[in-house]
Amino acid sequence: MRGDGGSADGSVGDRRARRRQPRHPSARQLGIEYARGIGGGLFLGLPLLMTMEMWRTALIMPPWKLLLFLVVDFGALLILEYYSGFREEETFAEVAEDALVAFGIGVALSAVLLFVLGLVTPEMSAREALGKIGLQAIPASIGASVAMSQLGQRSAASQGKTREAGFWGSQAVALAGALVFGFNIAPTEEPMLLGLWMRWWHALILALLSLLQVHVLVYAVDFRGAHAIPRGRTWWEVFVQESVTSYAVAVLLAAYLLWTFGRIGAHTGAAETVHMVVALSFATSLGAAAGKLIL
Amino acid sequence: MGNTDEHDRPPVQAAAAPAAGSDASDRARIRGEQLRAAGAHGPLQWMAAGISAALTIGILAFLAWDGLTPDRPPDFEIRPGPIRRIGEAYQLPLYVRNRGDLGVAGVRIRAALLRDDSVVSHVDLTLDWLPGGSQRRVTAVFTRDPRRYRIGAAVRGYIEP
Repeated sequence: MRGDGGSADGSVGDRRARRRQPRHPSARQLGIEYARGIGGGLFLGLPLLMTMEMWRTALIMPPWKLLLFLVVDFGALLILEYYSGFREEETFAEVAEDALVAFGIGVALSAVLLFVLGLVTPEMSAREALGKIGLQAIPASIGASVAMSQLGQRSAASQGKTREAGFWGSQAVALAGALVFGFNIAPTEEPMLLGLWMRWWHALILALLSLLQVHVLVYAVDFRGAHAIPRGRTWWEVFVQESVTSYAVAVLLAAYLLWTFGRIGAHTGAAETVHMVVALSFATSLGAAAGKLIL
Repeated sequence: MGNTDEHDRPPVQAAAAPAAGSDASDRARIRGEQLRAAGAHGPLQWMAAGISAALTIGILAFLAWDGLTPDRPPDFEIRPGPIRRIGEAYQLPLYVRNRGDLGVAGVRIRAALLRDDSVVSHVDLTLDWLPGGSQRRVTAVFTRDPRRYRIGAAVRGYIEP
C-alpha cells in the first residue's frame, strides 16, 4: 500500500482514489443518484406543476420566449453544477454532462407527471404539449441538479472541498438562487396584482427591505454557510460590492421573469412595471441570499 | 469587530517591535496580501458594483419621484384596430389605454355599431386589469361588417382596486 509510506504520500493516494471513484460509478450508484435527482425535481417542480397559471402560460408564451427560457435554465444548471462540483474532479465537459443529466431528468419527470395528471394528452397539439413540458422542466431540472450535487451523502462528507466562488461565482450562484425562488411566484397573478395595488411608498420600503435582507442573511445572522466580512474590508465596502450587486442581479432576474410570463412589456406603464419588479425582487433577492448561503 | 486589532494596534507596541525600520513596508505588504485573500476588487468588479448601485438608486429615486408627482385619475382612450373577417364573423380589435396613473380592475367596455345615432349592434367586454399608463387589446366580434357603420366604443365603468 502506498498510503503506508508517509502522510504526504497517503494524501495524494487518497485524492487519486477520490478522483477516480465518482467518474466511474457503478450502475447502482448511478441509479441512486438519478433517483435522488428525481426526488429533487419533485421537491421543486411539484408546486409549480399544480399552479394553474403555469398551464395557461404554456399556451400563450411565444415559442422563442420558451426557447430563451430553456437556454437561461441550462445556464443556471451549469452554474449550479460548476460551483457545487468538486475542485479536483471535474472538467468543464463533466460539468456540462451533469447539467445535461439534470436537464434530461427535468424533461422526463415533467412529461410523465403532466401525462399522469391529465394535463398533457395525445389529442393535444405538439406545440401545447411541448410547451407545457418545456416550461415545467425548468424548475424540475433545477431541483434535480441541486439534489444530485448538494443533498447526497457523498457531498455532505466532502463539505468545504467545493470550488471557491469568488466575486463572479458568488453573483452567479445568487442568480441561480434568485431563479429558483422567483420562478415559484413569477407565473402567478400575485406579482401583477401587487404591482397594481402597491403605492410608491410601499414599493420604496419593500425595495429597501429586500436590499437589507440580501446583506443581513448572508453576513449578519450566522446561518450555516454564512459569509464573514473578510479581514481588511469594511462593512460598507462589502455591502456596496457584494450585496448591492446581488440585489441588482435579483432585480434584473425579476424583470426577466415578469417579461417572460408576459406581465411586463412595451405597453406597461413605468410605475406599474417598477412596482411589479420590486414586488418580485423581494422573492428573487431572498433566493439570491439563499443561493449564497447554500453553495 | 474582531478584525480591527491588526491595523489599529497602538503605535507604542509597533515601535517596540524588532526591526522597526522595515515595519511599515512589511505591514503594507501584509495588508496587500490580506486584501487579495479577501477578494479585493479589480476594475471589472467595481464596474459591476457601480452599475448595480446605479440600478438600485435608480429604482429608489424613481419611486420617490413618483411619490412627489400628483396622481392623475384613470382616464381611458379607445382606438379601433384593423377589422378582420374570419368565417362569417368580423373581428374588431380595440386598443384600450389608461392614461391615468392609477390602475383599475374590472373595466367594462361597450363597443357599438351606430347608424344615424341609433345602436344597430353592440358587444360588451370586460378587462380584468388595466394598470396606469398601460395599454391592453380586446377584440369585439360582430356578425355585421363594422366598416358599413360608425364605430362607437367607451368604458362604462370600472372597479377601484
